[in-house]
Formats: sequence, structure tokens, C-alpha cells
Amino acid sequence: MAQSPLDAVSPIDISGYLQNWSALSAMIGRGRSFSGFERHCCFLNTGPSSGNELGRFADISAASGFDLIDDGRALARVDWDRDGDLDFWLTNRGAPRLRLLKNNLTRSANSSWLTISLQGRTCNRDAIGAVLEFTIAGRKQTRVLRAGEGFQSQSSKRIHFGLGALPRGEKGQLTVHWPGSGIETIRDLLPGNHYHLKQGSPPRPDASSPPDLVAGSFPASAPTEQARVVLTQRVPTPVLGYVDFSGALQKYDPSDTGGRPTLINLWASWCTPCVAELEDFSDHHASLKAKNLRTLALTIEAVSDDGSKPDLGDAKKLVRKSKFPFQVGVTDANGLRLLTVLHSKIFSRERPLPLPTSFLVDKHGQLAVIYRGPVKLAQLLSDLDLLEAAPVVVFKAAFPFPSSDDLDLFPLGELDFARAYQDGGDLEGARRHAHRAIAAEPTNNPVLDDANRARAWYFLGSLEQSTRQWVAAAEAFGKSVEHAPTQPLLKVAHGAVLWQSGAREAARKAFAEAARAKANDINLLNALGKAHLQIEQPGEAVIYLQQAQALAPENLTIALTLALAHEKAGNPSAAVAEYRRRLQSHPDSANIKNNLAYLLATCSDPAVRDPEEALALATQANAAANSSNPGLLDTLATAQAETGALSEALTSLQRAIKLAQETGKTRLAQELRKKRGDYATRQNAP
Amino acid sequence: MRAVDFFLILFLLAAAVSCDSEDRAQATNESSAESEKPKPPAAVPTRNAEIPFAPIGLVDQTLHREPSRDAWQGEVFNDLASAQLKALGKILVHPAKLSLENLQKLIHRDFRPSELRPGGLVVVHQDAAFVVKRPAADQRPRARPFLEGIRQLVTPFAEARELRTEFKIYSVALDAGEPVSNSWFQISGRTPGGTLTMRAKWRCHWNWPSPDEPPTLKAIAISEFEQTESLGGPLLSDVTKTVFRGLPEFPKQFNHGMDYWASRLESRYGIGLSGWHGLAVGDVNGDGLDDLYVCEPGGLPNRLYISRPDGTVIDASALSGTDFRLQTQCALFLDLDNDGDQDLTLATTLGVIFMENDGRGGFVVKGSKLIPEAAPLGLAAADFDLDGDLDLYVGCYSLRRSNEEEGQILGRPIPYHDANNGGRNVLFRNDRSWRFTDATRELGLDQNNRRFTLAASWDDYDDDGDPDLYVANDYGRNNLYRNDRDGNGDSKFVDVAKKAGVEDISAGMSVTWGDADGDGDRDLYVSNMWSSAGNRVAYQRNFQTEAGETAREEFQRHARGNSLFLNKGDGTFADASLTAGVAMGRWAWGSLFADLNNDGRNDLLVANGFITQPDDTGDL
Repeated sequence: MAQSPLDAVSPIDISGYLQNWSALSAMIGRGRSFSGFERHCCFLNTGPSSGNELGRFADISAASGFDLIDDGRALARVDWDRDGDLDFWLTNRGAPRLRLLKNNLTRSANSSWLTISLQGRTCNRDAIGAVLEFTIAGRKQTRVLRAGEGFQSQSSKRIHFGLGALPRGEKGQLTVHWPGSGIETIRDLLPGNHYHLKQGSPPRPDASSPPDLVAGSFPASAPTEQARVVLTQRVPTPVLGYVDFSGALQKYDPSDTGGRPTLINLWASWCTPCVAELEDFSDHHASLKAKNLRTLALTIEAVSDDGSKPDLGDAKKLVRKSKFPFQVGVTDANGLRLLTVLHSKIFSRERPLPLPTSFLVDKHGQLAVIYRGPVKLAQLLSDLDLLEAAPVVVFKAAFPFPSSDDLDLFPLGELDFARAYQDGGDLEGARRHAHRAIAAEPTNNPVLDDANRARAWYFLGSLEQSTRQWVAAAEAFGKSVEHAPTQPLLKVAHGAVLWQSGAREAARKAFAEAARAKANDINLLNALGKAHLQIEQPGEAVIYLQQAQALAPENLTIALTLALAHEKAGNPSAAVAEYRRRLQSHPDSANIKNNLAYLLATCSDPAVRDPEEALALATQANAAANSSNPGLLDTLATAQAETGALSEALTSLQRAIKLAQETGKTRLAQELRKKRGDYATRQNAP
Repeated sequence: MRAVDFFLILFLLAAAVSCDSEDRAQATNESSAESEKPKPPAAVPTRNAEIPFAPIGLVDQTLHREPSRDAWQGEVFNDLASAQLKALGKILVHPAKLSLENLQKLIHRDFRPSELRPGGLVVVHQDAAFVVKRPAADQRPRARPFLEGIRQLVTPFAEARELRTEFKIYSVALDAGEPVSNSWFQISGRTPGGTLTMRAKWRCHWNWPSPDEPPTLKAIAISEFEQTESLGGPLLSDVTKTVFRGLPEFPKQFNHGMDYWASRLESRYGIGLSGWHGLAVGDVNGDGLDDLYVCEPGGLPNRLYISRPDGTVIDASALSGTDFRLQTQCALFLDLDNDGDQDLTLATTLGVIFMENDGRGGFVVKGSKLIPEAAPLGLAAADFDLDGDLDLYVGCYSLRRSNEEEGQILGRPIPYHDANNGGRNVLFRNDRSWRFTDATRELGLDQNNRRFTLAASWDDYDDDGDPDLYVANDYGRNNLYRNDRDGNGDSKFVDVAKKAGVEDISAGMSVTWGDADGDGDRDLYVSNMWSSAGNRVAYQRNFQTEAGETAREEFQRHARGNSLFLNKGDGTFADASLTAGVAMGRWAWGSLFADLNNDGRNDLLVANGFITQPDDTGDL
């Protein structure tokens, strides 16, 4: 870039540079070539030159047949026809946009090969990252299994080894370095086979015969300007001034359609298809009128590119002769420009408007369908029905191929961005987008607007709460309540953070209001119970949760929360009783066993404490969960430690730490490491 | 404040210089014996009733923007010299019609005898598919008069069909009395036994007395001559039609280019002209046969093609639930939950979408990850922390655009040669149960992470047992993130690209790891933009005169082409791009190591070409 700024620069410095980028983009958008007509390259590795240095590759672009003039993009390796040589899938920018290039090497050549697919057991199942070394006739090759390489491409996971010319019966040896999982060596592999290798098992050859794929590519589609485009997002049509054939100044005003759709047609008297189309409209005027369509046909013959004086003689003659039963007129350069710009804004590839071109505008003055080239009457009639059709019908009509997804089911809102920022740990970004969601322009649906604002404030409140910014959280939840005053659950959340921020009176008031809003509501009572546990008021939590339990005696979640509340409220025996009762109805629940075990192992009340039973319960819970949950393993370790089995406890902890780490629970892993330190100290203590 | 308006940008410049030249239908001065390219229709309406519809769009002045002519006289000369070489190419494709008469306009009367095809070629490589010959090291050149030299060059093509020639000038020097151009020359054709290609660098000395007249050749010096024969016809043949036999929807969707679709689908669905849509190969239904997933622009459905034993495919897009019409850039088949089937991961404008395979090739969405600042572009997976599950690196190109910029094909790099205002890439750690956590920052991957990333790939280049990551970026330097794991097994990444010698300041488009020299460790091939215009302009004296020498070198490096870096085994790499002859891959995109001829050595394939348009408006 001859005028790129060289480093950090002010906006004034770069404005010219950016304008040029935009200009360049615009030129490409209008159909300019840019490093086009290039042929793909292919370089043959001819091995070491003198000494052991890598020699010069030979350019076999033409000799290989790979030198296509495509705007190539993605490129992937695969032995698609399983004949032992590598074929290639390619994507292109232009047509054809997909190709399979078959390798004809093994057709006649005396060349050996071997392929192998891997299946990991202790490493990732795909064995991505495995290093394969194949040795045959004293020569070693190294290949690696990767997922994603080149440009936007994933090649086959089947690894291919070309082996050149080999004496018959020669066998090879494969060494696989499984990623993070040790090395395995397999002997006596025979060239000419597709093997499958499962980590730790003998290789299995696959015996399927290769198909013979006949060469043949699709002929290029004939270029055409003809197009019908149904818009899924209609755009306002501009006001168009024109002159009618009596010489009077007229105006098409989209804000004054009289509730009728309009077809704006561009024509010229010298354009045969235009004239045929106008006559078609004319012949079937009654059926178009029955659909309430207004037709406005404008000739472009007053516009000249070269400054020559326009000649409207032929157009006038045609209009006089044909007596079209719809409005006809003459557009000037400005009208044509407005329509051209309207059209070009819709597409990233601008096309010049052909003749004829028609724009179907709905009764609200919004452009709905574009016809480049003539439109058939049947098409026009059916498109008139689309104008007032449901969005899903318009979608079906707008896309060239069916699809099971509906694009507008995936709208991206500011809150989606806010959540994504929060996920990535960028809380400032999350706040910024939440505030944008809050500040969104009101729509004509105030109920929806309020709900969206309540949601955005709630998100913001939760965000502040997660970093213990209690005052900010209380303010945000408060706003959320204002936008959704009938949602008592929001008031509960508000109350909890108000309490944490020190506004205890306000908190109590919020809880009371929430409780009053709906009597005997399980979810509400459960939420109130949890909120009071959160703000360390277990006594109140017990009351709310007991009320909830009375309404749903069998609800396990409420029971477990209640047991926890009892425990926190200094009543471990009530907690134990709750757990035992639940264990009777849910004898296999690892959760109940785990919670009970932890309480029995750690309770300071000697009447409750029972490390031996804790150990038995924790062992059962872990057996049920296949020892794959770091939390359960932690409980087991605790029970083991309390029964004096410190070395077992350390083993359990070690496994828990590994699992926590593998599943990304870094904070838990940290806590467990600290605990491991404590146990180790205890173990080493006299 | 810098005065940046002195120079027009490079591409605008190359465009404007070339667009007035009638004869430049193509970027390369390529001639074909078979047929001349037909002239496209004129861009203004004609009173011809036979032409159904003629364009009446507005002609925009930007198409005809002129550069400051004096500043780039080299480009003016290039245009004239290119036309002369193209004319020569046209003559060469008819070996039987060679005569001094039709060469007269091209050569100067004082043409100094030159050698165009060295005698005494020796076979440097021969296998079942290819024979490669080069001049013997001790061979003395034998100069001949022009006509005789040309005859000697084309004699081996006497019986060849489909003859093709190409010249591409990549540097010009006007300083001396005799202007000099450097170009690539190639002639190829189909012979009764296969194909024959000769290529060489031509250093041409010209006589150019007047700026308005075409220059004439005074001498030609060739180097790097190479002759390649393929035995029994081209190695690769297109079998697409056979594979998609019986799928009428296929040609309807894929036999139209991006220009066709981008002028028929609203741009708001994310359909643009760049055509950056990838593909993934994997065995979706566990039958041992590889299947294919093709990503498509917004508005066109992605396609899943399941292969049958006979090599043809069935379209399982709708049945499998993977026929999204969302703008999709890249896909990977990965067993993310280690249950023995290939799950599907997609990079779309809505973020990364994770789909679970039900074991029979049916997919359900298990979750998605929106990357707020940028739409994801490229995907590369590895188990970086060796915990037994696959993690995902997501490359993001440019920041999400404002509405105003939407639909523009190009990013807005600042500064061009070392841009750091692109999208932020993300590493998603697999935390099992379809939970993926953005661990970019905690892992140290946020260093140099504002680049215009086009590709990334994992490999253990330092052979310490864990995968490292190479990231290829447009408009600047690349990243090599070394994976340093501590005693606890915790990974930290450090960008060692500079130290390792693989920064590769240029327009990185793709990256492929592979053992190029057969020593067992992983070498690196990075595809870039090889621009003849860039080479010509960036080396002229008035290019970026305000820039320091370093920045100028960086600009020049930008146009050099692809890079091959050989792993030295000590954590650093040696740049072998030029000695291995693999730099000139043109405007390169996908590149791959692949053993094409089963000789156990990794060859290289490069797909290229940015934007080819049929209209005769000149190449930018």
C-alpha cells in the first residue's frame, strides 16, 4: 500500500487511506478483476540436492493438471476413491465452486502406498496430534494427524504414505506417538492396504475395492442477467418524478399509494423484450387490476450516456399505437439514478440494471420484488400474493434452496453480545452492550420494550452481582423491577443484593413485597429460601423452604436446599433426618449420599458426626458416578481423612484435582490443591 | 502529521495503469492456440434488438481513476513491455508459422544473440508420473540469433496440442539506458505422450526511445530453466460430475459463482464476493468412507454429502439437520465428546456452533459461542492440554463492520504492512459435557492477538509432546505460539514467531505443517500474496519515500510470495522459500503438503487467484 500510514496515526491521517480502501471495495463490487486469471501452482519435491540440503522443487503446475484458472480457496487431501493416491477437494470463488480432482497415479504406475486411520483410547478419540512414523526398506517417513490446516480446510483423518517402488512382499513398521499417551509400534504392515488402528489393539486392514471415477466436470453455466429477487427485508422506495406522454409532470409517491401495490417498469422502445412485456401487461390488464396492481412503465430513452440529444419519437409512436391501459411515462437521469442506487444497496455485487427491469412495490411503498429482465405474468400474479403473506412464506419464496433453519430465528441482539463478552471475561464489553440494549430505540410494542429492558437490566444486575458490586447490582435489579413490576422473582433477586449492599430495610421490604405478590407459589418460596441462604439468614430460609416443601413434599431439590438451610441454621440433626428420609425414596441418589456423607464426616456435633458411615456413603456415591466427579471425590477424600486414612484421601484428592483441571474447574482445582497440601502436612506430622 | 496523499495505493495504481490498455483482457499475458477470448459485450446500451437486455447502470468514475503518471513510469513501461511479450506469446503457440516477419515488431535490429533453451539438459527427477530436466551445472550457454533461438525453444512442441504461453513481469528497472524487465515465462502443451512444459526466468533488455511507442527486445538472458514432462497425460482429473451424478440441485448451487449469488441474495445475509468458504472431510456415518461438508455463504444452505462405496454421494444436508443458510466460513469434524462419532463444529456469523452426531450422521445443536467483536473465520483443533479432549482455536479476521461498511470486501488494516486492528482470536477449552470456555487470556494467547487472521494450524514443532500453534495473518506478521506446560500440566503460550524466524511479514493466507526435507520434524509452508504489481512498485525508488528502510523492506517482503520454513530442530527455522523455488504461488489461498506421486516426499499444492471477472475492465 503506497499510502498506508506507517504506524499509529490520527483519524485525519488515515481518512484518505480508508477512502481508498472503500473505493477499491466498490470497484470490486462492480465487477473488476483483482489478481484474476491466475493458475494454481503445484511443486514437486525432488528430494535433496547435493549433500543433504533440500533441493529445488520442480514446477509441475501444468504437468499435474492442477493449474486450473479458478479463484481457488479451500483445499483438502483425501483418498476419495481408496486407490492409494491422494485426491483433492477444492472450493472456488467462481463457478464451479466445488471440485474433486482425482489422482490417476496408481492407474498404471508401479508405486506402493499404505494408509492408516487411528482411534485413540486414552488420548482424544480422534487421535488428533498423533505423530506417525512409517519405516519400510530402511526409509522412514513422518506424518501428523491434524484437524484444520491450509485455508478453511480439514483434510481426511486417514493418513497416507506414498512408498515409491518397492520389492514385492516388503513389510513396514509403524510407530505411533499417541498425543500425551505413549508410543506404540506395529510391525509387519503390508503396503497396498488401508489399515485401521485402535490404540492398544492390533491393526485391522479394510478390504473394500476402489471405485473407478470417470473424469467429467460440469459445463460452465451460461451467464445471465435475468433474475427475480424477493426481498426478505423490504426497503423504502424513493419518490420518482417523471413526465407523461402528454408532457405533464407527474410523481410516484410511495407514501401515497392509495393502499395499492405498484409495479415500476423500466423499458425502451428499441428493446424487443420490453415491448413484448408491455404488451403482455396490456393484454392481461384485467387480471392485474383484479389484484389491485398499479402499473407504472417508464422509458429510459430520455437518458443518454454520451450527451446526445434524446429522441423519444419511437417511444411516442409505440405509446400512441399500443394505447397501454396503465400509466406510462419518461424518467430522467435522476429517477434512473435513484432506482439504480436503491438496487445496488441491496446487493454486495452490483449489477447494472438491464432492460427491462421491474420493481414490485407493496402498498406501504416498500420495495418487495425485483425483476431483472422480463417477468412472466403468472409469476407476477403469484408474487402479488406474496406482498401481504406471512414472513415465513416470503422466506420460502426468497431463497433459491430450501433449508431447515429460518434465518430470522437467529437474530443477534445486544444482549447476546453482552453475554459473549461476559463469557470471555471482558466485563466492560458486557456492560457496554447491556447499556446499548437498555438504550435501544422504542418499537411500536411497549410491552415487548419493557420486557427487553427488564431483561437487559437483569443481565447487568447479575453481572455486577458476580463481581460483588452490590450497590450497582441493587440499582440494576431495581430498574429491572421497574420495567417488570409483576415479576416477584425479580424482587427476590433485588432483595438479596440490597441486603448485601447494606440496605437491609429495603431488602426486607422487597422480600415482603415479593412474598405478598403470589401466595403459595413453590418457585417463589423456593427462591426466597435460596435468597435467604445466600444472605446468610438460614432461619428465614428454613421457614420459606418449609412452606415450599408443604406444597411439594416430594420435591427433591427443595428438600436438599432445606437440609442445607437446617445445617446452616445450626440444626444438623434436622438436616440428617431430611437426608435420610429422602434417601429412603431415592436410594440411588449420589447427590443425597454425597451431602449426607460430607455432613457426617465434618459435623462438629458428636451426636451427629459419623466418619465411618460417611466413608461408606461416599464410596457408594463415587462407585455410582464411576469416580468421575471431582466434587464426589472430594467428599470421599474428606471422609477418608476423617477416618484417618490419609494416604487414600490423598489419592482421591489427586484424582479429583486432575478431573477438575480437565473439565476447566480451575477454582475447584485450586481449593483441592490447598486441601492436598493440608493433608500432606497432617500426614507428615508426628 | 504525515502527508499520505502523495501516493495512490498500490492496487488502485496497478488498476488504473492497466485499464486503458485494450489488450489486457487477462492479468497474465497468456495466449492460447485454441481460441481467442471472445470480446464481452459493450457496457452501454446499443440499439440492437437481438441483445435481450443491455446494461444501463451508471458508469462510476472510480473505475477510471488515474494515478499520477510520472511517479510510476515503470508501470507505463510495464504495460507496453507486457503487451510485446504477450504478442510474442501469441506467435509462439503456432510453431509452424514462425517467421522473422511476424517477429519484426517485437525485436530490435541490434538484437544480441541469446540462448532461450539450454542444450544438454539432464534428468534431475524421474518417477512413474514425471520427468524433470534442468541444465547441467557446467553447461555453457550457446547464444543464437533471435529466430533460431525461438525455433530451438518451440521445436519440441511441434506435435503438441493446446499450446499455451504466459509471461508475467515482476520487476522493471528504467535506471540504465536500456530498460530491463524480469519476468516468468512458461510454455506448455499436450504431447502425444503426455504433457510438456518449459519455464524460465527471462531477463529482457529493451530499446524504448519514446514513451508513446512499444519497446523492442534487445537481449534476453534466461535463468532457472526447467523442463517438465508428465507421462500419460495430467496426473489429476476433475471427476466432480461423476461424484454428484443424480443430484440436480448440485450444479444449480455450485455451478454459479459468488458474483451470481451476491447479485441475487440480499447482502444482509452475509454474502460477499470473497468466497471464503471452507470444507471439511470426515467419516460422518462410521462406514469407513470419508464424507464431505461444504460451507456456504449466507442465503445458500451448507451441504453434507455422504459418500457411497462407488465414490458418488447422496445429499444428506436436510436429513442430518446441517443445512444452515447462515453465513458459514469453516467447519471441522471432531469427536468432541469422545463417543466414537464425528461431531460438527461450524464457524458462522453467529459464532461457533457445536453439533453432536447421534452416531448415524444426524446432528443436533449442543451450543454456540458468539465471539462479540468479530465473526469467526477459521478453525483448528488440538488437545493442547493433553487432557484427552479436543480444544478449539478460532481465528477471526476483521472486526464486525458497521452498517456503512457492510458488504465491503476488504478489511481496513492499519498500518497496511503490520496491521494490528483485526479481530481477536479465541481459544475455547473443552470442559466436557459440551461446555467450552474462552481461555485465551489465561493461556497467554492474547499476545499479538489483533491481527487479520486467515488460518491457523497446530503441530508440535519443538517435539516436546504438546501441540504448538501457528497463526497466519493478512497484512502483517504471523504468530507462532509455543505451548509451555508446567509441572501441574498447566499450559502457557508464548509468541515466539520472531525468535523462531517465522514472523513472515506479508499477507498470510494459509498455513500447512509437514515434513518437507524428510528429517522427521515439522516444517512450515505459509501461503501469501505474490503480486507482480506489488513487486514492481514496491521496489521502485519513489515508493513510500517517507518510510524508513525497514518499513520499505517490509512492504517489499509483502509481495514476495509464499514461504517455506525448514525446522532446524533447535526451535528455529530456516527460510528456504527461494532456494526451494516455492515462493511464486501467485495470489495464494489454500496450500497443502501432499505426496502427489507416492514417492514418500511431501509436495506442495497452492490454490490461487483472488477475483477473476469476465468483463474486460483490466485487472487491479
